[in-house]
Amino acid sequence: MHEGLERDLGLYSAVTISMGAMIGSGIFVLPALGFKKAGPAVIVAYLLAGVVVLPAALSKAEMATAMPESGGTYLYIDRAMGPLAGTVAGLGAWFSLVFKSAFALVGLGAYLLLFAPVPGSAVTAVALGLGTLIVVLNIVGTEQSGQMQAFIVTGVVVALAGYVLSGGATLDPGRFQPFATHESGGVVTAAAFVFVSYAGVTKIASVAEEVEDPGRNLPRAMLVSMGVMMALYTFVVAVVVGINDPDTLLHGGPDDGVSLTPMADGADALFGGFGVVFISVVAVLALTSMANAGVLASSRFPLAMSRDSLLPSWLMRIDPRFKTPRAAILLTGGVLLALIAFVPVVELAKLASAFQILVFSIENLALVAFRESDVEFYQPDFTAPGYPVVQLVGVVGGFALLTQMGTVPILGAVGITLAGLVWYLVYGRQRTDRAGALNVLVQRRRSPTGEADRVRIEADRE
Amino acid sequence: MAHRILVPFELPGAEPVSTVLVEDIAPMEVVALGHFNLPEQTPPDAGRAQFGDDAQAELDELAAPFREAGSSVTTRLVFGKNRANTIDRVAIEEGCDAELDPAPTEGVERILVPLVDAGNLDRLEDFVGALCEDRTREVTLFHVAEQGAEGDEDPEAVEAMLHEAREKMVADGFDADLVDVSVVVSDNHDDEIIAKAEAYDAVVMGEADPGIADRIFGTLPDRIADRTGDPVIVVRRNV
Repeated sequence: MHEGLERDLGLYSAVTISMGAMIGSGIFVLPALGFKKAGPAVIVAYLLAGVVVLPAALSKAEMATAMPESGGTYLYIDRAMGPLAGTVAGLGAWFSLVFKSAFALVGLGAYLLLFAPVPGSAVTAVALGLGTLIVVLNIVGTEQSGQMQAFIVTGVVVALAGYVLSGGATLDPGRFQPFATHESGGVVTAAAFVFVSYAGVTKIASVAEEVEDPGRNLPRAMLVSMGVMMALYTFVVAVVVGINDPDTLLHGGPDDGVSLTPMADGADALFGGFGVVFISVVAVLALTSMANAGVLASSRFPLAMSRDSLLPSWLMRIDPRFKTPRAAILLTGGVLLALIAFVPVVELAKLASAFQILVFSIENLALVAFRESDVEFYQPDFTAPGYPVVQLVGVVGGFALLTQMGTVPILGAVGITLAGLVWYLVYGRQRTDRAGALNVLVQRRRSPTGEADRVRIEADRE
Repeated sequence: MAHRILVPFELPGAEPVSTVLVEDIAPMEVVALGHFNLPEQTPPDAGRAQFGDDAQAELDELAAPFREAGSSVTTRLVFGKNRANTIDRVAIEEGCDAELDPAPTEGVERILVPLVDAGNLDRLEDFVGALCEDRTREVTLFHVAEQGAEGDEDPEAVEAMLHEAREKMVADGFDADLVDVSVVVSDNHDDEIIAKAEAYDAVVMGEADPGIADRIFGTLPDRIADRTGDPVIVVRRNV
């Protein structure tokens, strides 16, 4: 264990952190988008997406127990596959999370309008205002909000369960017919879109250094929260489909687009007539919490990459007054606000999913690299079960989803890979001599004696 | 066996401990814990990388008076977000049997000793003794006879318990004129102790099980220290 770090998150806190990172736009905003792709079979898409995320969650849990330092995804991939892959993955994970936060803020704006007397065209302005507020809060610094987070998560889960019970009694079974409106390909496409709903499960790995007994609690927290959320999502989406007129879902949004507030749309009959207000308030709470957590977590990527010399060193500077990584937060917040202001975030929601799928696939490969190279510093407390089948399923499943997403997301994934490559070549390469575990593997293959050249691997920064 | 006492400092910018207190605990082993509070935006290892050297220098400076006074001093520097948990963890790791919540003081004339039962006294006595100096003129053993949902405490039994404790202290060498006892009947245990402590210069007490109020408002010793500005020594339960 690192001298001088606190471990004060127990299993319950870890589960709520993980669930808190998952609950958000995935369930409050995306069901209608998924419905457009798959019809009522969007329900199956939520399950399928969960199944494809699971391998990456397990892989990440194992790597997190071997490297319980902040940096998460970026760090594991960098140490496994070298700084080039690290740069690509770091950029991809960072951008995906920023995108997801932007999407959450736009959805948040849409729900806010349901109970506040503001014209519909103000969604972007509201989202920008809230985004600015969150960025400022993060720069000034907030105290441990773990307990607050636990309250919100518990409240939201109870509200969602209430929604399922209340809506389950009134739904119209006829709405599930025909079930699959877009053939089986539609389900896969929808799964690719709602994939991001589970991305939060790996959030817990990024606070791994603060979890008590990580070998036991990290994987349990991930599996418990995944199981709960897969069940909850499936039921909630079934109710959304069952109580809403398909037309509302497909055209209830701004400018006749898909609804951004699918959970509130059919809720007027629920909770004794207060359904719309109730669900909207819950959605606003959950989405605010998600956007805030997104800014907090994503600004750690530039920070960690900067500490490894892959980004300029001013990004890791901690502000002496507020004690926060101000530059990393400002960069993240700036991109967040620019996305909301200038980019059609809703149409491009799939980009966030695409980057996430890419990163998760690389993450599975990273685990393979660690296991096969057997580098000395890699001593995980928790060993992911089902290796290597689970990881291969994760990689193949991930790429299969990626191919179903259409041209723009594929171009996006290729684009971020190229951007990472170029940045590494012009900036990172001359500043680092790190090599990943993969390199050890390759070296060993080359020299038949099995004696690999000494390759510098940073197991630990101290 | 020498006592080992934890002295926490909130870095950066912690106040040095008053000379009086440094001298009082000079015979003990001191663990000087510097806790550098970070907001949740900042990973602890990043905080340590940037502020570690300065914080260690500050902590060494804060610990220097204890060394000069003859204590054997260990310093621990922690970057983190949860001060109370850190204090608890380090106290266990370092095998400390008490914590000092330091506060500026010119001298200790009156010491309040909230006592739960006479059996507790053994562990508190040495620390009361340490704080006693020439100018100390009163040590009060104090107990709130609680009237509440869990039943009423009998004030007479409580007084008898305190007197028994007092006699033991006198037998152990405390001046009989110095030690007195006080009982208050109330339904509000914590507030009574805090109110009583206002009139005293230092508090020595045992660690209590944290209840709901402690989670929300901070532990009783913390609240006493905040309200009265007195140094508080908390003697740990399991050593």
